[in-house]
Amino acid sequence: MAEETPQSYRRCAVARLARAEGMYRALTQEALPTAFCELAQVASLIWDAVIDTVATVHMTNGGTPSGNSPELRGYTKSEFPEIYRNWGGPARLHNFQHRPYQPISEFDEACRTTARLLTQLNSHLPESLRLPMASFAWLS
Amino acid sequence: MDSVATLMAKARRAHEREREKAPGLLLKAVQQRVREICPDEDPWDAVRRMAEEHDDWAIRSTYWYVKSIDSDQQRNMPYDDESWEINLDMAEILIETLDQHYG
Repeated sequence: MAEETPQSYRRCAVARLARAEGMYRALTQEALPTAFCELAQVASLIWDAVIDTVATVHMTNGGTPSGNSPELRGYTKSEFPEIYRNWGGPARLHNFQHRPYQPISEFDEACRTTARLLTQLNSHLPESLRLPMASFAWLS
Repeated sequence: MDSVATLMAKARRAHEREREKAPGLLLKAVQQRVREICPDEDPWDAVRRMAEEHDDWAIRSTYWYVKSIDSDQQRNMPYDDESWEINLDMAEILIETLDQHYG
């Protein structure tokens, strides 16, 4: 297996966000409130992209993240408490994968909070490793 | 009426003994803190307004997370241990943030 690098984590995050956006945009407004399975997949991709981005930040700062989400949550909590304050957004998306039968308003709020968190994470990355704003602007 | 600290302690104890009651108690604790500041406003309306006034999205997102875990419990969707840890963190962050802003 190829060794993970900040660049590879970043590439994965961008690809997952693009897939998530494509799937989300393919859903019509009428279909959204009942498209539980599709939204669960979108939520899963966004959550994974957040974890990839935290891993990118971690590696950029000299760490060797395992990619394990509780570990990366702990890292965010201890090193970036300001960012951790918005952890509820991705955490709800993570829940959403397993219990998608929730109002669409819950999904929207989780996405909006996740967009804030990704913006904050981006600000801790060098220019070359930042996620393009357009890759997650659709979450707001 | 129980204080915010008492409600937080009750929520922690409930998580050990009567898990289904814990999210509701935690929500009560944060609502109590919000009502101490804005007694006449719906807590969710109040936190959204305060988040805008202080340009601090986390006031809104932390409250919303605590509210969401309680909604799950109401819909018979029990929480897992990691969700509980995050839930406690979010409640504490919100209370601490409101203390900083409003004393």
